[in-house]
Amino acid sequence: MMRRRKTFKDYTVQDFILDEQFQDWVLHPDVDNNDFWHNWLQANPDKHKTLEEAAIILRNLDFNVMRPPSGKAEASMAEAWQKIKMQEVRLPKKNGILRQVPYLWRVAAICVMLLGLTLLLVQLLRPGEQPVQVVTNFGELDTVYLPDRSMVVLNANSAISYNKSWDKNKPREVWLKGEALFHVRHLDKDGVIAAGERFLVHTGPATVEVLGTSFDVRQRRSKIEIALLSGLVKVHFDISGKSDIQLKPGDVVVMDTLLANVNKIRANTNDYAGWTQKRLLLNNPTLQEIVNYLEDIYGKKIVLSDRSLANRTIQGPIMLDSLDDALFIISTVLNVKIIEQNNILIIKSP
Amino acid sequence: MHIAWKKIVEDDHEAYSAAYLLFYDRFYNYGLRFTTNVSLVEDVIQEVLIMIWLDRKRLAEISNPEGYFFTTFRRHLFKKIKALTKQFPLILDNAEPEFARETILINQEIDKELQQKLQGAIDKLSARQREAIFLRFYEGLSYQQVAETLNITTKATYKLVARALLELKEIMGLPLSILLTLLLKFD
Repeated sequence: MMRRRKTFKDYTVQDFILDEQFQDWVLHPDVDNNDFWHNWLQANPDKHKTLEEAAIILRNLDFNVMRPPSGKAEASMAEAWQKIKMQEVRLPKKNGILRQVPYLWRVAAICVMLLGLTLLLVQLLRPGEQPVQVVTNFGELDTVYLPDRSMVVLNANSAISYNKSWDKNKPREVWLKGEALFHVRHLDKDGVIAAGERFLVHTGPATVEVLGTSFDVRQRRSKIEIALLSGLVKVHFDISGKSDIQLKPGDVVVMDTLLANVNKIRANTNDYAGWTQKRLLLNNPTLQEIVNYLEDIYGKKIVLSDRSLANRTIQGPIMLDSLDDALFIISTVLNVKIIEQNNILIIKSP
Repeated sequence: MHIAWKKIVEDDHEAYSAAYLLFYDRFYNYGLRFTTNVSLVEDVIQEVLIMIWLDRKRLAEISNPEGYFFTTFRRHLFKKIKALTKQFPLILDNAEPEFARETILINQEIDKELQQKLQGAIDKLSARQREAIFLRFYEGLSYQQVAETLNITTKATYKLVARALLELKEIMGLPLSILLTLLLKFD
């Protein structure tokens, strides 16, 4: 970006001091500007003193610098990435995609316009009925803010969908596959529950109904578990003969969707939210339970070479913050061998 | 020292992270010229840098991102400082935040007498002059970028810097003997 048209031949000390190009050389010398000014000096040997004099004043400027304590910038950046992730979930994703492929606009401008008109029409006919879906991959968590600013932490390999905006006179509804922890905003103020103050989570044949509360819904394979951390929820089943169940904090409802049986147990429900910090989750788990969980979360096929291994348990909670860590714990605590073959993990007796 | 703006616009996380760390240090140093409130400066740095990432598609075409970063940071910081002063009106009236006096120093290695004279001249500079000199000579922003940051014309910026530098030069232009000893130092 150097403007080299200037000849500087009749420049005085003052002119040099104030010249941007000269300043850059004195304060931030690099190969390019060094070359330029050394050549210039050779061509104008009588200007040596002028140049030197001009340089002195600039070189004697010094600055008092304040640096952040070490690690501050990195910590701030890590936090910023988290906030960015949260923010981007809230923004409609399609904008980004369209902008990333601008030629799409040109190539398919008409199609897009037609589509836009159709969407607009649909939108006008069915206000608020624009579905949003957030999906997490294996090993990835996500935070989702619902239209009422209730917060949902979505576990790995899970999906949640809901309408982009919610009608104030209709129940708030979300559909869940996989596992999520809900922190629901409490809207009821007068003790009478209006339609718009209801909050429903649909998962498989079960529906959880909530009033401002924190609870974990885990729907994996043929098992649904609903653990209440605080507040009050009611679980409804789309199965004839199954009556609703009310949960108090500390209650867990466990449902086998194949056998259609339902049990209510007491547990430390805070453990059910452990995965949101990427730490443990299972209490006195059997190896089979751990394996199922790891498969669901990390998307890795895991096989037990010997059926008798399935019922061995690990006493106490187990940390599952990474697949490698979990496998390490399993192999040391249960004294088993874990090998990988064709992308499948095989757990063997030693 | 340059940021890979194109890569950032194309969602390159690494390029953004590198820019984040670079501007964190620069804004920290710059921001603390206006206030002693470290956590305020840290918050503003993070907010501004997050905003830039979220806005990157809209900002894709900006011609000089570095200048834009500084402009946005300064504007945002001033807003926050003013909001705070409003909350605690006794501390300060609603004046513009001032660029700290003790920012610009004179090289300690030169003759004591001259050093004192120069420092005296620098201390007499206006807050705006100090800021312009800091941005131009310490941060290496161009006259044009400094102008954008201070929200004045390039010509006004040039004049601001010129008046300050020429005043220093007047002082430098004193005894020849001092000048000669200085000259020897730079050979």
